[in-house]
Amino acid sequence: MDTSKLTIRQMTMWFILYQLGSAFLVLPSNLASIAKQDAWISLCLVLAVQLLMILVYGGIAKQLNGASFDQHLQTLLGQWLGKLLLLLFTLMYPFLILSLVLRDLGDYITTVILPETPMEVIFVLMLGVVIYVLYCGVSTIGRAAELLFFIVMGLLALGYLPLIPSANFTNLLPVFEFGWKPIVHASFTNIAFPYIESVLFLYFVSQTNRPEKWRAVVIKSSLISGFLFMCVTLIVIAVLSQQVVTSLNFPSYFVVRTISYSEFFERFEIAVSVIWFIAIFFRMSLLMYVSAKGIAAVFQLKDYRSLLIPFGLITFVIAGILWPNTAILITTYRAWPFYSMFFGIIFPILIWLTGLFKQRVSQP
Amino acid sequence: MNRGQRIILALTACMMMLMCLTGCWNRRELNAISVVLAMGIDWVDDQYQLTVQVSDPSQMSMNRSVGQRSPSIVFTEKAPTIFEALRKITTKASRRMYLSHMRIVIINEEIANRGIRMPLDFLFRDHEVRPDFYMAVAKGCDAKDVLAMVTPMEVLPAMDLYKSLSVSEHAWAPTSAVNVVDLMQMVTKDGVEPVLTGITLIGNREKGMKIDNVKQPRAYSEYKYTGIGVLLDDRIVGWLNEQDSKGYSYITNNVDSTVGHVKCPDSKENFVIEVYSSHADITPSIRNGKPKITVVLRSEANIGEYQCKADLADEKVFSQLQEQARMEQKMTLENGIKQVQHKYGSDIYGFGEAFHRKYPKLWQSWKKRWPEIFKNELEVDVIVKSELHKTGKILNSIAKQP
Amino acid sequence: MQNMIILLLFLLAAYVQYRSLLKKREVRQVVVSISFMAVGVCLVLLREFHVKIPSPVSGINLLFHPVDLFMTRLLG
Repeated sequence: MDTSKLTIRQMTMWFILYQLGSAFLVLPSNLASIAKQDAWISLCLVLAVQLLMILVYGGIAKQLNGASFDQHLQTLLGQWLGKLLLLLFTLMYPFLILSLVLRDLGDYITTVILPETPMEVIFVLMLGVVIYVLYCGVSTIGRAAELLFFIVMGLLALGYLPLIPSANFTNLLPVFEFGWKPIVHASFTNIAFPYIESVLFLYFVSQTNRPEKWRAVVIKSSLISGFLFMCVTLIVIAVLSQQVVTSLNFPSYFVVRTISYSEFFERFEIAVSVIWFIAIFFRMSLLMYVSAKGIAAVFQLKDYRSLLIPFGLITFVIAGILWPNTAILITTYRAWPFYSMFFGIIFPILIWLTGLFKQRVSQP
Repeated sequence: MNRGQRIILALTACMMMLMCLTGCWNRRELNAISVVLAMGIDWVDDQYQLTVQVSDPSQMSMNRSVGQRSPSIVFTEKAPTIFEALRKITTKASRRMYLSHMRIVIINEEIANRGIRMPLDFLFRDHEVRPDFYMAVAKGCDAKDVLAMVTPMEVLPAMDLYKSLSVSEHAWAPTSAVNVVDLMQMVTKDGVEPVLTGITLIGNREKGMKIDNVKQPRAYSEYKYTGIGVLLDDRIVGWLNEQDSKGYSYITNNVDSTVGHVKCPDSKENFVIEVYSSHADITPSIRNGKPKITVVLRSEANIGEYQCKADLADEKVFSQLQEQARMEQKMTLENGIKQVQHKYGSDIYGFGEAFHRKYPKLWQSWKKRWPEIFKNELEVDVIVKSELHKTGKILNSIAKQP
Repeated sequence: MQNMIILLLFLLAAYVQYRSLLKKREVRQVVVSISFMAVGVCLVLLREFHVKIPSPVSGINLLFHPVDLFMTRLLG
């Protein structure tokens, strides 16, 4: 049994869970603080940008022609330059996001659920699971995605549909109160985190038996996760008003706390936070897989599995030192989109253009 | 994977689940926490005085010895901030206070006069506190006394307060229960000012705190939910009487069902209408550059009690009664709005938000001066379109023989 | 103390892995893996002795905070 192949369905579900990831818990407050009650409109803008970028990614995917991403880089730019670029890219992008995501999870749990637990314990438990599952191979994660996807969808419905009767949709008016500018500004954060990380999905083009379907998979997953985001943000702003959402740290969690029907259907917000655990797990497994594969290609190793444990250790330490307090966290969230756009927009466009150029040169 | 490896793997998975599901470092045994049902915040000697009412689980079981111990226990502690007072209570209680099941928070009138934002900060920030409790202001007494009272209906006084408030909100218009989520929204929005329910104690308070209070059919002391307190920004500026509170509930669509008396058109007697459905539409408009609000109230009611002389079978009489009921509702609403406008100048009805939604650009220029505009320049028009439908089981009073 | 226990766990897992790798004579993988592992162990030891490690995020903040301010002013 080949442990490195994914079916199209598994890939779609994994990507949806990846994009749902850490953003859906934290971003409504970030979006609402800039775009106020039009936060859900900025998500439409985000999806539009993502669809444009998928054209670029699809172009690169076509140019791959069956080779894996690292081989393609080396054929484009020569062996040494390609390897250097891959090394820098992997260390500065997926590896860093891995620590970021892990730290996010630790922050969330120690703020809301288990305040007295040291963050290291949560890190080790999560890293242990991720390392083990990557050891078993990518198809294991694919199968896990197939199973857990329905649980996540069920929990989302359970948590957010009961809010609709008590939502006050007049909280969303007036629409376009401050014009286009805040909506565009708010969309930056959401574009960077998680949508243009889809550049990392390029590693998966060779992992499936039908590579020509890759673009359709990414489009479908982006649309579905974007739609879910929009619904959740809409409901969150409708139930609590925009000013309350801005001042909360974890609005999507808080809003589930307000559900209360006939003194019976209430107080189950923890069940809903399981969504987040599962989504973070898939996010981390994808990021670690990409990092390990990238570095393995740089050093021409046969197998990425030997790198997992060192990466786990380094991630554990870096996640602990990322930001010492909440103020630096807020600054990071504001500055991160521009760093991420460099790797997610500029880098792929350059690769694509180089690929096009080479194709044109080789066809006289 | 052979059998040995599989067993080890399964055991590891179970161990990890055990570690996480029991709460890791945050494990609390059930007999090490006590569930706080109600909290009272007072301001005494320049310090916060925190009172918590917890339930005594041994007294809640079926085979308890009645009259031996009280089912709920009250602890009080003073400290410069509320969080400190809460932790300080452990010097008196044998368990740690667990705030997730709080039902009601009562504030002293002094704190309400100084501003409610500060004491509420802790309640919003703490991770244990859930946003599903009610808030009330204790008038003419300390929150400590309200929580220490023995209540007639329920075993736990906090549950009595909570249930009474939620039942009263549905059955009697002048009572308005303020949920914390609504309070947060009202405090942070510019166009709405918050309100708070008022609660007082009547009767002999000293006796009310003993079990003697409920040993005979008539209690020595009772609590009572009074009218609504009007806040401007986050300070109490005044209280509304019963009629004005009723108007507030009508306009903010808080009326599920209520009862009110109307003067008979032909005599000095009253008849009673029972409203079972009510909806108010607030429409903002600009007239001559001045803001104007039109409130259209639609409610459906039945006749609940009839002491007039006219014959109910007559169509003209019915429409007369309907007209009378409409005028009564219109007067209630108009008087209430005038009182709030001119005496307090605080927009508790949300008229500002209505302008915000419809005229956003104009609202930006009005936002800062809205309390002033509300007080002096706003015109309010009330149109009542209520309907009277049925008369209950009998048509005319049995005493009357035509 | 906690850091040391976690380090021990990781080293144990690495040891098991290296034994199986060496049996298959995969020298290259072991070398690369050990070098990354050394980096990780250094970091954990630094943490254990409370040496302040600069966070990569501070570099990002330094470079991109002005960009964020510029964007806020442009689209504010």
